[in-house]
Parts: sequence; structure tokens; C-alpha cells
Amino acid sequence: MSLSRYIVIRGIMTLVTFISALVVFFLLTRVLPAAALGANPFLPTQSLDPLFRAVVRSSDDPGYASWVSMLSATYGLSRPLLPDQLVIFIKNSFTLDFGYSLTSMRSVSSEILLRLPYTLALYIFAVVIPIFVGYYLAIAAAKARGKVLDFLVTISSLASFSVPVWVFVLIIYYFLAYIPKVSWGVYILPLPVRAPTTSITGVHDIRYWIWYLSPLYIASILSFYGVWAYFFRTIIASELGEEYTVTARAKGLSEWGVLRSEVMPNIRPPIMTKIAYSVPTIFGGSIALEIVSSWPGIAYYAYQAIQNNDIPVMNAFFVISTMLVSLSLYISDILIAILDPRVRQGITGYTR
Amino acid sequence: MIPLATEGASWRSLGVKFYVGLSIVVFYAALGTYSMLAGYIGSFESMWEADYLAKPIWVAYIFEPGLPPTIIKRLEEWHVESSNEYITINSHDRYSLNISLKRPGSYVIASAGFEYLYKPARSMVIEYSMQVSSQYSVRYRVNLSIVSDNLLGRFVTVEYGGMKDNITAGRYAVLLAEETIEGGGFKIYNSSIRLPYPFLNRIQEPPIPVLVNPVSDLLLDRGTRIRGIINITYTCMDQSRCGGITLEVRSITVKILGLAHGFMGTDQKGSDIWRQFIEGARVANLFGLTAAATTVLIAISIGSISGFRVGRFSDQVLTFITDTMFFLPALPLIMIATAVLGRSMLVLYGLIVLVSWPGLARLARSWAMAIRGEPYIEAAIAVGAGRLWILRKHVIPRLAPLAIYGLVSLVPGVISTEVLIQFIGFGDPNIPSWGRMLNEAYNEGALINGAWWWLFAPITGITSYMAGFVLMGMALEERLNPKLTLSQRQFK
Repeated sequence: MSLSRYIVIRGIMTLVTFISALVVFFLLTRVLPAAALGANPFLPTQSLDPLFRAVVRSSDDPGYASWVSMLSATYGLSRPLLPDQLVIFIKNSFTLDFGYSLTSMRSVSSEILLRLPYTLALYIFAVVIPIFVGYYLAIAAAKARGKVLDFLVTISSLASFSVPVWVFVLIIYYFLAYIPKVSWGVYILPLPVRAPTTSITGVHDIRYWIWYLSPLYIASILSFYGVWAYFFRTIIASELGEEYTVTARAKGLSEWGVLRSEVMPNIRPPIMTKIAYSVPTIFGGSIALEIVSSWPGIAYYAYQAIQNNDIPVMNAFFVISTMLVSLSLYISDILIAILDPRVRQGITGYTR
Repeated sequence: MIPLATEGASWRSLGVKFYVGLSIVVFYAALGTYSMLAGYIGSFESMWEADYLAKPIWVAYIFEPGLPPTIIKRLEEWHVESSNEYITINSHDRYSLNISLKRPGSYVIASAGFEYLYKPARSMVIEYSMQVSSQYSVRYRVNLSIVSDNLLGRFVTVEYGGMKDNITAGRYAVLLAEETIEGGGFKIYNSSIRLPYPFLNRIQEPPIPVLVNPVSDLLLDRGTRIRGIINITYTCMDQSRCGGITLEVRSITVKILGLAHGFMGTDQKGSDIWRQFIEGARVANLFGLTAAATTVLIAISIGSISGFRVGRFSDQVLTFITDTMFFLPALPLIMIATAVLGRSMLVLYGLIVLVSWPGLARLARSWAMAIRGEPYIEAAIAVGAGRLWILRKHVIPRLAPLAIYGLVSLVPGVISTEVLIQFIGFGDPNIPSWGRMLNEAYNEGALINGAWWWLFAPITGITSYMAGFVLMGMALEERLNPKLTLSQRQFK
């Protein structure tokens, strides 16, 4: 199978998975609460629908007389939950039309798009950088095997993946922000209380971004490199036990040369697979980081929306998260196919 | 991972990692059991066990010797100070006194004092129970004060808002009542008051500024004696019918809230963090193990069916469901669903099980596929054994090591999700988990007040508990994957 055909087929399967995720979400958060109250989801029962009730509650202001009818038209609230509203929900998810926020009364998709760069700045860093840190630490450990460095890398990576990322950020806030402030009157790193708002635009303000993101970056490196260091170390160790490395050594290659020219090409596909598998976890971690540190990305926005029962924003948050995760998986699928031609032979690749 | 490696596995071959992990887990299980035996006290009932943000005892001992522990003293040996012959003592025991005062006038009743040997504490709780009764209609004035002997007659200079003020120290009135009772009537004074209580500062004679803390500024000092004094003055309303008044001191308790308390100090409400910590251990154990066990059950059954029927329609359907659930963003789903379905532990349990089974199910599927290809399964099929029989007799027992590994490796994820959901405030508010502790610590100012013992108690719990399971999981993984172990042996 050619690469382009593989990419198309994988794209279709990613879309199918995306739609099934939306269905699961819809069943859990819309149909299940209504059914628990005794509604028949196949008949139009507005009064038991959590979304409709939230919309009505938000329309107390007489200035918003047409509010309910407007949102009802967007979500098809006068129709039965299954299958009409589900279909409308999926269609809206593809067109990114989530109606209006029940608290700010502004378009949800514009609010989300305003905050998306903040999330991406955190998420992409948290996915990419720890891999490199873990990789080089594992190489260093593999070169110094049996020595102190090897032991230290193993122990520290164990500590790294025992501790959730948001716990790291709390520890960083305490030791690098609070203690220096109290002891010497300076912030080495900022505390979350004065995190920037979404009003920051322009190149000049990038340094504020970096400054407020630095605790989160450090925490994500500290928390995610351990998985990679341990994984790379074990996979390199297991490959070095193979017979082809013995051959390579016999041919006179140095240890580093064996690693570089013989082992590396072999372990790239499983590494990509591992990355694909870790994507949902890392996305969860970056969400937790945003909420703990009041970083104004989509997760913090959704966190506030959940406290205000702002259901359109919650829906949008889930749809955008699923999109981000699916897209990351799709990209890693394609990368795996490029690295390992065997994968293209069957449609079910490493990640599926 | 190849299932064949489990043959001949012995406990000794599991290595140091496993036993270190196991001992951590057993330690927390013991703590949880202990907390269950000790019984849960709600956060409201356990308030003011010591002062707010009291340090742990060992920290106080090392860094700040002389911080007071919580002192609860029931004032004893009440006696009449002014020698007046018109007094009858009706009854008298160690903590209470019942006297009749025959003539109108002013009387002073005092208790024995107790030594206070520490640095000044910040606050105290006074609990008093007294009764005044009379056969005649009288007007009286009763005044309960706490007196510190060494400081009596001294002045304390207090600076507030750029002004200096000299304030009489050593005496602070906690009850000041001026009342009239009809003949045969009585009044009961039965209350508990926590000092500093700014309102009381204004009724002192002379009034003292509201910002002055009477406990640390006026009453407590190293080596002073604390006692209670009651002043009572009365006049008869009707001079022709004037026979006396009865004062009954039932019990007066002084509780000086300590600044050093317990193994882990106290939080903002003065409740013991150690107690919350062990209750958190119990919740972590119960929740983590139950949710992980349910997840393992679901994952192993779905994975083994899917792997055993590989390539068939049922396998394709199950694999599709597994993949969809695996790549569902778990945290957004849990956050939103707990908001919509209700913030209870049961909902959280269901959601965590729902999002965490697919990973293990995929592993179980590959194991079942490997087992299915073995000759004895083919032999069983050849002699006409039923599918369910083979699953039960051959496949499920071979998956037992995977189930144990799955249980151990799932607990950290389950616990960290539960704690995170509690931490960001979407969890069950009635469950005393480490996440709720962390939520309170973070949102009620542990960071700003420098109360590291409050912030780090749950963090220590979470991380060490998870590390225990991670260590066990790593040891089991090495044991289950012989290629890894073998190559590592060669590697070293």
C-alpha cells in the first residue's frame, strides 16, 4: 500500500474514532442525566434536559428574550435527544459552532480560539521537550552503565513518574517562588496569583508568556522525562542484548557507533508508538497544569465554565480536546508509517 | 510481553524493588486500618484541636523550642478571696463551688492558678458554666476575668496605626453581665468563647483597641500563672426583703490553643492534619484498590474474549470500542461528567473505571492471542472442547499474572486522577481524601502563610503511595518480560 493511500485510510479511521468519542460524550453528559430523571431520550422532553434547563436559567435577564429560542435553534433543543440532537451536536462539532456561552453571552468558538494558543504553547512543549530530555539522559545512562549516573537516572526517572505533574508545579511554586519571595524579596519564578489574562497579544509580550509558563515547563519536563528515560533505557538495553549488535561490535564498531547506526533505526517505530500512547496522558497532565496554575488556556476556561454550569463551553472544551488528541495521534501514525514501511502493509498499525 | 515467562516464578525472584514497594503499600494499608478503628471525626467536630496553622511537634522541638502545646485546664479550687462573714458555702468540690452571699456588696471569688511555661500562644477558648439565683428580686453585676499573676499591674505598650498606647495587662474580662432577676428566678451563663474576640476588647474597663490580641499581648507570658476570678456585686431591689444571692460555679475550662500540635501540625481550622492524613490513606486504599480491581475485571474479560476470537466480528467490535475509549481525553470527560452527573464518589468511581480499562484490555488481548496459538489449545479444540470451557480452563488461569500486574500498575493512575479531581474541587465534598486536603491547603492559603507541613502532608502521601505501586509494577513487569530481564543481565 502506498503511503498516500495509508494516510487517507488512517484519516478516515481517525474521523470514525472522533465521532464515536463524541457519541460517548453525548450519551454520558446529555442522555444519561435526562434518562436518570425519567425522560425518554427518543421523545422531545425539554424540561429534563440539563442543557435546556441551564439555558432557561441563564435567560432571567429580560433583555435576553430571544436567548432561549436562539440557543434552541443552534442545539435543536426542541427535538428529541436521540438521534436528532446527537446528529446536530456532531455536525456543530465539525463546523465549530457551539452557540453562545451562558455566562459571557459571547460566541463560544471565538472564546475558545482566543485561548487555544495558550493551551498549545503548553501542550506541544509538554509532549515534545521531555522526549528529548529523556532520550539524552537514557543515552548518557547507557554509556555509563553500572555507574553512579546510570543509577541516578533510574532512580530519578522512577521519582519522576511516581509524581503527578501538578504536584511538581506545587512544589516548584513553594520552593522557587514562595521561599525566595519571603526570604530575599525576589521571585525566581512567578506565583499563579498574577497569571496573565487573554489580553496579551504581540511579540513584545512573549517574555511574559515565557515567564509565567516557566514553572509549568519545568514541571512538565520533570514529570514526563522519567517515562521516556526509563523506556529508552530498557529498550536500548533489550536491543543491545540482540545478536546483530554482537555482529556490529565484532566488525569493530564502537559502543556509541552501535547505538547510533545499528540500534537507533530499529527502535524508532516502537518509540513513536509509545509517544502515540502517551499523548492522552500528557494532554491530561497539561490540563491539570493549566487549572492549578490559572494559566488562561481552554482548560482553565472550561474549569470556570464548569463551576458556572456553562454547558456550551463544556461541550466545546471536550470537542476541542478530542480534536487535539486525535490530531496528535494521526500525526504520529503517519510518522510511524514513514519510519517503518511494514506498518503500511496492514491497516491496523502500531497505534490501532 | 510474553506470558510464558510466569512459569516457575518465585517470590524471591521478584527483587528488592518489589519488596520496597510492597512495604510502602502495606504501611499505608495499616494506616488506613488504624484510621478506620479510630473512627472518622468530621472536619467540623475536629476544629480547634490546636491553634490554626500550628507547627508539627518535631519541627517546633528542633527549630522553635518553647512553643506551647494545647493546654486544657479545668480551673479548680474555687475559694472566696475577700474574707466576708456573710458568706455560706453550700457545697464545694474540686471544680465547682456553690455559695450564698447574704448581704448586698461586692465579693471576689478566685480559683487556684496553673503555671504557663511556654512562649505566648495566640488564642484560647474559655468555656464557662455558672448560675446565679436568688429568692429575692436583686440587681447584680457579675464579671468573670482571666488573670495572669505576673503581668498584673504592668503596662504593655501596643503600637497600632502609628500610635502608641499603654494598656493594663494581666486581666481580661470574658463575661460582663449586669442584670436583674425577680424573686425565685435564676440566670444561667453557659457559653464557650474563643479569644481574641474583638467585641470583648471594647467592653473592658478601660476599653482597649480592637486590634490588640489579649491572649498573646495581655495574658500569656513565660512562667506566669493563669487563674480565673469572678467579681459579683449585688443590690436588692426591695430593701425590706433582702436575703441574699446564690452563685454556683459549675465548671470553668481554659483551653490554650497550642502552637505545636501532633505529628503533622494543624490546618487553617485548627484540626489535626495527621488525622486527615490517615483518613486520606484509607480512602486512597479503598478507592484505588476497588476501582483498579473492577477495571482489571472488565479489561481481562473483554481482552481475553477479543483475543480468543481474534479476527472475528466480535473481536473487531470489541477492539473498536477499546480503541475509542483509549483515545478519549479522560480528564475533560471526567471533569464535565462529574459536573453534570453530580459530585459523588460513586460517579467518580464509575467514570475512572470507564476511562482506565482499555489499556489493560489491549494487553490482555495480545496475551490471549499468544495463548490461543499454543498447541494444547489446538488439541483442546480438536477433541471438541467448548469455547467457554477453554477460556475458563486454559486462558483465564494463564492471565492471572497479567491481572496482578494490571492491578498494581493501575492503582497509581486511578489515585492520581481521583486526587486531581478532588484537588480542583470537582470531587465529593464529604470524603476526606488527600485531594480534598490538598484543595483546602492550596485554596485556604498554605502557600501564602508558609504552612508547608499542611501542603506537603498530602503531597507526601500521594507521591509515596504511588511510588510504592510503581515500584511493584516495575518489578512485576521485569518478571513478566523475560527478554527484558535477560538482556539487562547481559547489559550489566
